[in-house]
Amino acid sequence: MADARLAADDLVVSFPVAGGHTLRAVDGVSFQVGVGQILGLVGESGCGKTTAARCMAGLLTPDSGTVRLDGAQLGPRRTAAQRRAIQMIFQDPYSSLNPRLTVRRMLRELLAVHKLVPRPAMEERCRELMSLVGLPAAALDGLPAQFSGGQRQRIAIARALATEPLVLIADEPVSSLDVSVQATILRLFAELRDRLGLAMIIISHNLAVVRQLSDQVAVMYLGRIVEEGGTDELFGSVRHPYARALLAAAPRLHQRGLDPSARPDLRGEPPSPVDLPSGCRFHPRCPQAADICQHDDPLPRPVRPDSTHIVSCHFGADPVPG
Amino acid sequence: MNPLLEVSDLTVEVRRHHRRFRAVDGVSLSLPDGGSLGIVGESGSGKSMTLRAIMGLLPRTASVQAGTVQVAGELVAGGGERSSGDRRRHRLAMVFQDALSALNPVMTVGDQVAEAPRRVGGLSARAARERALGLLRTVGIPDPARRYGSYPHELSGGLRQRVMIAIALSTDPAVLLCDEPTTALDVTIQAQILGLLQDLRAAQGLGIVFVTHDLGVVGQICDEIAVMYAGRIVETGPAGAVLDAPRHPYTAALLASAVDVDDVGRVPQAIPGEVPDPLRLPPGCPFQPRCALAQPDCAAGPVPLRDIGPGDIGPGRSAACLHYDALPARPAGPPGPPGAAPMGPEHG
Amino acid sequence: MSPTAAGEGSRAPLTDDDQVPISTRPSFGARAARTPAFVAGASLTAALLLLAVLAPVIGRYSPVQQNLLATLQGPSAAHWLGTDEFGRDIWSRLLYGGRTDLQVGVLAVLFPFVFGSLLGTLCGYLGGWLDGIVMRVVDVVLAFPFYVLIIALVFFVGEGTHGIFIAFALTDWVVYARTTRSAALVAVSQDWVAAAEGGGLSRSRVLLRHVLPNTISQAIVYVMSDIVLVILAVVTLGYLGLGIQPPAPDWGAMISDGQAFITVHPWLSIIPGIAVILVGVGLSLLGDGLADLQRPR
Repeated sequence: MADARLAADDLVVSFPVAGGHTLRAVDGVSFQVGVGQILGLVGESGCGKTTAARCMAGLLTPDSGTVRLDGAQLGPRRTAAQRRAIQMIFQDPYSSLNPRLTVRRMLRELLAVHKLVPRPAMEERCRELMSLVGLPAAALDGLPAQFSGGQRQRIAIARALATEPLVLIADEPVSSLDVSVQATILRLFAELRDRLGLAMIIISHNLAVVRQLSDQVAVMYLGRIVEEGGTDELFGSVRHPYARALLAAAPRLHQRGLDPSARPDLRGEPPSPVDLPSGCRFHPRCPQAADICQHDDPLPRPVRPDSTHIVSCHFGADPVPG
Repeated sequence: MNPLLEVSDLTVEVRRHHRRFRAVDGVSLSLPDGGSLGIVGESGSGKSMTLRAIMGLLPRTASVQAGTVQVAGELVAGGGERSSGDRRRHRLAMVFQDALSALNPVMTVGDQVAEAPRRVGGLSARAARERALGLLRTVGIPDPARRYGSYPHELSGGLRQRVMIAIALSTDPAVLLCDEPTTALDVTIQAQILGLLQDLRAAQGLGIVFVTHDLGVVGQICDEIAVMYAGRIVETGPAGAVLDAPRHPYTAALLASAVDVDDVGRVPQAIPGEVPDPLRLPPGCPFQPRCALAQPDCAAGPVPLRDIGPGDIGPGRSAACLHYDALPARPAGPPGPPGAAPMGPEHG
Repeated sequence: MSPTAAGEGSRAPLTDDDQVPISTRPSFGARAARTPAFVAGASLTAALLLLAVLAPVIGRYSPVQQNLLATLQGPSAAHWLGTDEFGRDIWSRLLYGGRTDLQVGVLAVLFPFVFGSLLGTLCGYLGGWLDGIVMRVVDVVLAFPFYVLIIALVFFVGEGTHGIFIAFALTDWVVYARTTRSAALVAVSQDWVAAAEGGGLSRSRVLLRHVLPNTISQAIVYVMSDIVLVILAVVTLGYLGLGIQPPAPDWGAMISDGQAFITVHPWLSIIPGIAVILVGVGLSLLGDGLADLQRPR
């Protein structure tokens, strides 16, 4: 099997927290993204998706586990060439751009540092980048404060593209934007994937966004991937009770009233990641929890033999009772 | 019978950089007893400002220039009188978006819930505490006696939001004004909070005004919808009817740009252009520069909100558009079966 | 494959927002002109600076030239502000004194500004043991009352301008370090720093070209009020006899010398006092104005 463009193997990231405890934000996470593919990483706050993404982008060093680019392992201190290849787009467009740099200076600096383009050709390249993200060339003269949220996000994307990366990691790229602007950014991502053959990881808590863009989906809960697979397959037949609850809770344009039977019977709140439940992490909130769930942490297994749809649930591989 | 909450022609002016503009322009709303009204809009639509004007919580740079707000027939704002803050606070209560910044960080949550009954309601300390415990129970906080002594930062986002709702309920309001109360919450917690609000409506006959940008949420919890753009209401009507068959191009465009988890076949269409700068509104209809149906007469003069229908779209609809006939009247139904059922039995 | 926009015209460029207006930012000059504090402060300071620069031209006498036949005279056509106890023209002494004091004020803050800002930014950006050590030193310096420290240092090092420079170099940098460190901590918590590092830029480049310009703006505002502080300190030192050495004119010395005649000829002390106030007000307004301008709209 060909090497995936970007792969994570058994990432573990933990942080010390007050009181001498350790918080395992990411607890053994593995996934792969192929060339020209989009992986959607879904989960709610505290599930570790942003931490995992920052590891991939080289902004955090994992405690253990590896990140591989085209098969080659990336060490804790990445070279400039390695940093070039994986670029990140951040959630908040209002704090992800240096307020004192014009767009042109920001882009030119990256082009110069990585020696991507000779000086005379830089202006042309900057214009190209602007047109790739659908902004006029005049935007190059502007400071971030002059732009709207959607425009800033596009500038951030242009910055990411300036280094000619192989992988884009977008952390909640549209959550801070108005609904009508989100569509533009999503379409832009799809275009970039098609035009430039980028591999992408989209992190979101919004299932609709993930379903719209991704080829593969991975659902995270408390630092682990609980279900993953091809988008159509996974959404068509959700197995893990948490993923099912997530899908049921997602607001739908055509849903009228709160149908009590559709209301997720998800009890309570996620536990503190410092104080994890025994056995399956989800069992205290799971409507289907049985005795085995309290003792045995379920291993990931395919829902059918030879399927790429993997679920970590004792009941995940069986047909779900209606 | 008087509507529970009646807003007539409300106009709020804001001063920015030595200039003035209307953040809310001639907004009229009506909420029947126990009804729920959703106000939908994006940033700059004026939806939050409307709520704050009703509640009397406008920032110093903003002021009510015209219009009135009445609760159960009593005037609480506008009409030339100084706003009667007291009365407002007893009938109206507000739930904010970010519970962490809306709660006092150095007071226990229990004390914050007990504060209004104590200070305003005149209850003794013990009676107020009892009431607070009852309210914490009502909003579904597990183990209220222990949680009473917690501080806001010790609670999760969902619990904090429940505390905020409890505080709102502590003054025994008739109407709950909710400003994007679930936007900052995870979707499973959001579902719980929406369920709670629905239960409170059913149990206590509370009226709810729900401001949001999320069309999916508003369809779930609201009977009526008002869509706002650039400080004005551009469409109103029953929630289901408006969402299924919008009669204003902005509403239609908003629906077309939304991503829906079930609607995989449809590609979201962005709305061209940007929300106009309130200091430089275009002439005539504020949406017309971005509108696919725009005609010359759209920029000619103000386009008022008018009753339309019933026709084949049902009663109680109004829209601020001259050419809404060009919009499809047939409701856009829910997407087809495969993949639509969220709680999937095996499809094989 | 999941459905995306790929199916429809994937070769067509995005055109949605080509006509979206990007808000224009008025130039610094235009914004500055609209900021009342800046205009007032800049005008006043510029006027005072101009007077100081033109001292040789508009001062009509040498500031040290004595005329024992014309001592303690009031304002007249010959001496616009009168003369002091040695017959020296007060107007000329005021102008030349201003020259000296302003020069010393600006030069004395230079080292603290540069050194303190760099160090503070470095601490905020890198954190770790450097931050720990430097902040402890800052705490120690700040624990001493400012004037006590200055006076002690000048006394120890020696009077005159070089003593003043050294005293300020050793003590004044701490405020800049604190300010820029806070600003650096804020910057580091924002994603654009992570983006710059992620873009493959070296840490030193990120520090100097990205973080520092953002932290220095606060320091610049403080420089204005710091110059005022230094001038006041120089004046105070001069009053105590530890400042600029006579016969070179200096407002502090003028105030101090005039003290002996305060009941009979109060203007000897009051006039340089007013000059100090004017410089203080001008620089403070300028600092406020700059702070207003720095704030994002």
